[in-house]
Amino acid sequence: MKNIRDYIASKHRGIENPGEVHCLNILLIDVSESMVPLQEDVRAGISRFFKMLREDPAASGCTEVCVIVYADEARVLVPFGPVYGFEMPRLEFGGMTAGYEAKRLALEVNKERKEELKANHTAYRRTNIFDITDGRPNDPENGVISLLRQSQTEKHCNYIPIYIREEPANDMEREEIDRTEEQLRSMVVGDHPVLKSGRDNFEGIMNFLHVSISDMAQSSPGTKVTLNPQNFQLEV
Amino acid sequence: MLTAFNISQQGESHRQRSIPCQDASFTRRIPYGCIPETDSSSDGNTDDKAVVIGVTADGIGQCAFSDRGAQTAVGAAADYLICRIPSVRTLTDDSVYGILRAAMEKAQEAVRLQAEKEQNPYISYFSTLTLGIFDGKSFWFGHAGDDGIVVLYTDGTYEMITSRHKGEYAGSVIPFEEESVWEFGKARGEVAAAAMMTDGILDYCVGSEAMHNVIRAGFVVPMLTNIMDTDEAAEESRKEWEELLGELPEESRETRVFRMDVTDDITLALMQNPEAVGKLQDLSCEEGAWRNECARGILRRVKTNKKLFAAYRKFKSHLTGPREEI
Repeated sequence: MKNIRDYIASKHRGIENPGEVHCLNILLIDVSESMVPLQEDVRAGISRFFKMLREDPAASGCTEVCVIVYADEARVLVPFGPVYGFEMPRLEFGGMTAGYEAKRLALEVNKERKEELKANHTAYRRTNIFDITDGRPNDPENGVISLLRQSQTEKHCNYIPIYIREEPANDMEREEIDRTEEQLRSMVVGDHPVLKSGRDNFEGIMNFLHVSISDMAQSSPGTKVTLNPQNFQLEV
Repeated sequence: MLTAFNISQQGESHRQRSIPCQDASFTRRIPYGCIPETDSSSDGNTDDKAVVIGVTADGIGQCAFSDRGAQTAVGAAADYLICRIPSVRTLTDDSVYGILRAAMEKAQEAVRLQAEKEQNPYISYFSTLTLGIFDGKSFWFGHAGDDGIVVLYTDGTYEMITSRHKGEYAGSVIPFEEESVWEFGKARGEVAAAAMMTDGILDYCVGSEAMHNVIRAGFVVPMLTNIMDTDEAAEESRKEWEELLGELPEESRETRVFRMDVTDDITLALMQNPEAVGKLQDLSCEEGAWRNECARGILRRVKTNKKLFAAYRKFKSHLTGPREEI
């Protein structure tokens, strides 16, 4: 036993840093025509989001972000990259809302990324898919809602819609907002509500996303992280 | 005479969060080849035909009653082995694998019944489970989870003989209640000693798969070559390990250092053929292999990151036009 005591006392430790656990995040951004009035708010919010992530020691070293935009079609704007030094092209708004295609693309990209990480012996946490939109998709659904729900049920991702909209001016608009929210809610597995934001607090929502990612980055797998101020829980 | 001991202790991280120790373990020497009517309990029988058994389990962290689940699984598996082994006439691979599988099935059934009786979801009792049977030369195991077994062969080499059944996400593990991962096997050569460990202490002394499961010789060699030639010596060893790993109030400097590295619950079950171990007292504890793998690990990380972000760097290098200010 003396040998073991001497060994431990001499502070022999492995030199290898096992490496950070990668936190995967996919930003789905609706850049359709209806988002044009909101574009500067979206830009400011995303800018704040990345700035805060870069300045967060818990998150910056291990967070990867992929950006998918959708209008007439959905495409990967920026492949998975680390937040430090992250760059993305200027968003261009206009067109329809291929929201279902965007979700399908997000699920495919998520699956491919995880396989890549696994093949390279790199640990990762459950992917967050944040969907920033002001309305319902208007492309063919083709079973995407079921796939998205299944992916959440099987713990491949968390899906967090962020519904950005103006205050309703009349009952008709209010009804449309309620229908949209209900439709977004139908794609979510779990108790967490749809995050809602007006133009004036969108930056606050993005700040909240950063805090959420930071908390998740420091949590153990399987734990539920409470995300304030909306007070719902996501499983890491 | 084969000897063994086991300890399970609450880890620092559990202590700080007031989570009970979720590890459980058991070891015992059991004679075999007995006629069914004879007493099958271990009674210090020093005849040739005896084995030592080891059973370890680690409750899944987020499962509310996994500490109880682990204890139940270990208890049920051990009870079965104690009853079953004495009537075995000859230890063959087939007979031992059959016994190990049946023991794991008994453990599974016991945990399920416990969940029903206590009216809680079965999943809240989930744990790992690892069994070992050692006859002084051959070492057989049944295993599910991220526990592990390191054996010392009579030729002086050593290795981990189990694989870590990790879940998809970092830190997650596949519990033994998932039958599809059950692994049964046997050490490839003649074994002198074996250490069964849960992941807290296992990950301290055995490198990751990326490090080719390299063994930290400075820790493992003394652990496996410390002779326990009587039950009293084994008990003495057990007490020393308990003290070293921090169970007792007096905390030595070594304990503090160790507890900074290993904050999880700790289980160690040592099983030994003292006569075989006695011939290996000059084994080197030199850690060249460990240090090389650690150094390679740094380079490996750099290379891996380059590979993982190759698509992103290519995108960035081709990025023209206006960009978002982020």
